Amino acid sequence: MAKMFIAGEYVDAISGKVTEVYNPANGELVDTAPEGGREDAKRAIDVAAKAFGEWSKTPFSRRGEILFEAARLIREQERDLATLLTKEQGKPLREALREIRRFAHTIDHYAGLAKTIRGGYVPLLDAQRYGMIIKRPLGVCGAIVPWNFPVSLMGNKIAPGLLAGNTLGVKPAGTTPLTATRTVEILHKAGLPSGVLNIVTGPGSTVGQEIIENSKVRKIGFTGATDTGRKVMAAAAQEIKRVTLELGGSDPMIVCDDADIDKAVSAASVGRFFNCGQACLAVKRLYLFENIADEFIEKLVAKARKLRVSDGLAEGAMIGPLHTVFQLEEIETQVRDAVDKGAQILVGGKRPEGAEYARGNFYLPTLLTDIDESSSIVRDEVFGPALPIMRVHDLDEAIQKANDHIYGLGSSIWTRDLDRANRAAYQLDAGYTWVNSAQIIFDELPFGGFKQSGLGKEHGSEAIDYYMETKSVVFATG
Amino acid sequence: MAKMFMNAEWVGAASGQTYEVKNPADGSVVDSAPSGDAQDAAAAVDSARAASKDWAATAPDERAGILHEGVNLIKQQTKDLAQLLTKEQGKPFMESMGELNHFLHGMEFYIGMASKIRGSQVPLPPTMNPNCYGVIMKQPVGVCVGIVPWNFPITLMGTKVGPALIAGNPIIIKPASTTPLTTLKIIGLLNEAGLPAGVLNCVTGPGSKVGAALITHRDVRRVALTGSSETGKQVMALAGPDFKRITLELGGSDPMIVCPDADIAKAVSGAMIGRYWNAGQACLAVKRLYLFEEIYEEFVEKLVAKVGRYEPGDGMAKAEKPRIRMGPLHTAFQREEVETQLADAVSKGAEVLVGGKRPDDDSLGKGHFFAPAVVASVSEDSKLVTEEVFGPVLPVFKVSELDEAIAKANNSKWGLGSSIWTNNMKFANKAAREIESGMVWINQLHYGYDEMPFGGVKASGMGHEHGPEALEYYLEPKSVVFGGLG
Repeated sequence: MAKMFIAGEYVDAISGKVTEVYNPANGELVDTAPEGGREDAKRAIDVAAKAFGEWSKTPFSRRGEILFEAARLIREQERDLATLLTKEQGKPLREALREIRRFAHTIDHYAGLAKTIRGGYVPLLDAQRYGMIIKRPLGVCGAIVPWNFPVSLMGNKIAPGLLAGNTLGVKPAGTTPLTATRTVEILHKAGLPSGVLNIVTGPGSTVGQEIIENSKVRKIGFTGATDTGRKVMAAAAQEIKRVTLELGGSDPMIVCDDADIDKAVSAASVGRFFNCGQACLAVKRLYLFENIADEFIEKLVAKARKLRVSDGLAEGAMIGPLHTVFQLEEIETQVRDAVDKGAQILVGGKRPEGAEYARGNFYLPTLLTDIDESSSIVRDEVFGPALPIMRVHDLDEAIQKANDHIYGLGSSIWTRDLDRANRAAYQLDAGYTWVNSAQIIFDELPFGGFKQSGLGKEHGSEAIDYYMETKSVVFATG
Repeated sequence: MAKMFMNAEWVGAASGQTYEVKNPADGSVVDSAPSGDAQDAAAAVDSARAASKDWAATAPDERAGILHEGVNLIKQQTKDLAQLLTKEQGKPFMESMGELNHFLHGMEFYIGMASKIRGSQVPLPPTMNPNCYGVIMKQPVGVCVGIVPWNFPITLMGTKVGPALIAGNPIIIKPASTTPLTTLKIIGLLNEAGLPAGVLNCVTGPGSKVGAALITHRDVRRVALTGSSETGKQVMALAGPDFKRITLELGGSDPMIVCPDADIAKAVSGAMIGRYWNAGQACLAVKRLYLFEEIYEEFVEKLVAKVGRYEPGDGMAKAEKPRIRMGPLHTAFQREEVETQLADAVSKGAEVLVGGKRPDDDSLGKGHFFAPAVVASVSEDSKLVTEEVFGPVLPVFKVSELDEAIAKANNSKWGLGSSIWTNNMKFANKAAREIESGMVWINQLHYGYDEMPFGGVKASGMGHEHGPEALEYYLEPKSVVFGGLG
């Protein structure tokens, strides 16, 4: 029976209620977690507010040391953490391991920034004055984390948040509280003082709502769906709380006729089917130059057929189940809508058959062509393993179609032509463009979407700025 | 018998020659080290050059990971290393521990910076081309040489090794000939952590042979020196003809100004540690003390009382409280130099308020001990003012106002550090703006933070160590223009 972690210790919900966490691969009960409510969230926020004074005065170098040590401890337990993550989330064990390692890398990255945080100095504003720019932590921050990458997306918030001197209340998704809570405990073993980082499990409608509305919270770091992001921003607006919103996407991938086709095929397959397609920056729309489309499709279909769908803990698992029945039904609806509008299913398009799949939320990797571009599979975010493939005549058309969307998170282009690469880099309306590269996130580069994909940045040294206030100080010396 | 380290191997000098490293506290032989020459220098450069391409292409995370492991190995034996440092250098054991910890902190600073090195991207005007942009890349500079002095052999090696390796360069360290031993141990441990062969090397021997050969070697692109201003001149002259990149951290004669409203107790302790740490052998030691006349008597009285508590002795033996241990000067030459400087001041009318001579204790006869001194009524043309004083002697001056203090502070060919003690904001700001030095501490002991760039103006040097700035001196910015785009 799992607990949540507040004020340096494992606790139950004040109400005593619990919720059950199920394995998406077989419907079995993994564990129970406390079903926290507003009171629990309030308690975590109060504790964090109390811890802020001390933590914000702790030297940056000490905060960095704690984070370094935390990353080391996480790596020591990566296998246990990954196994638990696979059980509650569904992803294949090797992807779960990658996620845990990514989390440790992120923690290390910000630990390494500890001694480099700087304000500024501006000489002679006029004959008698000079300016100083100082950076201060914000205070109590809320972190709301989704279920697709429950650990690494928590890391994106707590690592810069803690390093900057803030204290945090984390709300994991209702379906993935277990690994995140365990991770928070490990951070305390590394020396994090109690109250600095708290995690409250429970429904978004109560725990999440309290975190967003509570006057003591000065910032919300949110990763999730665009519609939820809208609500977070509206609620935060009441008290002008700072927000970072990492929301949905519908990333286009453009393959030109001079691309390295084999590499691009791999990138499309990994890009779309990683995490069973449940990634904000998955490849969600594929634009192929006409003259290479047939070859490309043939190779991609062959690849998709080989992807082994199974319980994430099974040997050689490449694609796990969708996380929930809701996700499964949503993708089925989107595929059906596309087919109704004339799309051809090249591979997949249904649940796999057989006893091993009977109790899980499995869906086969799916590729579709002949897409009516008004279909939901193009217009909406597709959070599952289905990829619509469109043919284009040239780069202008590809870019125009890629940009004709409410989202602007990631994007990629495959070409050996410098001019095409540069045009894509400059003209795609997205926060990230990969050139001849799979869509991989780097801790070294700022990440955040244009348009309705979000607001603000995570990753990079830039993320720190979103966890600090900037103050200008004028010294008159005359 | 210590050996030097190059190309992943412990080696003797090609000539087979060695020399003895002696303990400044009692003249006993600590160990012997290879007496290298130009041939050894060339071999080290060859191995560094062979390693440079792969090391430059090694991912920053991997570079950082190896050094992180190296730091962990060093942490496991700081006490042994500190003991060795005390034996070869002379400083009290507690100061040796402080030095090692500062070294580790500095290394961790650059380890953390590894993945944060950035160039930039620049929109360009359409003058030449309607569609073009610039990218500023940062590339490692190439084979580096670090020439390290004997006063802080480990931290001042770290200020070179850390940024050089993290930026992707191989480096050859030339330690001072009198302090090669702890350096070699540390370089061995960093290599043991997994540095590829040739990336971090160490050549021991006389500066005139090894140092000069390293600086002038055609494959060396970067020389970092910490040392005296005289040596700095020679290094710059040797490196100049090939336009090698240099940073020079040289001498100083740091002024400390104490205003009437200062917290006297804190300022006295700042002056004391500032001047007498490491037996006064520090580039950013407090070397001239300017006291406002209102507090002159009180300050001097307290300072003299405190300085009288120093007890020269072997750095490995603790002093009994309230006595404070001070180690020997590093060499006989250093002690004679300080004695000459002090005698010169006295001949010009100065008054020695405390200390200023060799201790009477016969048991200390074999070491280069000297009782720390405070000196008043010092003529401004004395060597105590015009030269850098690299030993435990502090001249104190009376000033009547801040302008006078600043004018006197600036009347020096050096400009490394400086400090002012006051709570008066106008005074603090004026000093911060007007003192000609690379650093100003306000109400604080002179201390080199890893977080901030460190480097002097005037004869105190060129370029910076510490801070993210230091990395820039180990990188070449390359401007790349992408033009001709459709």
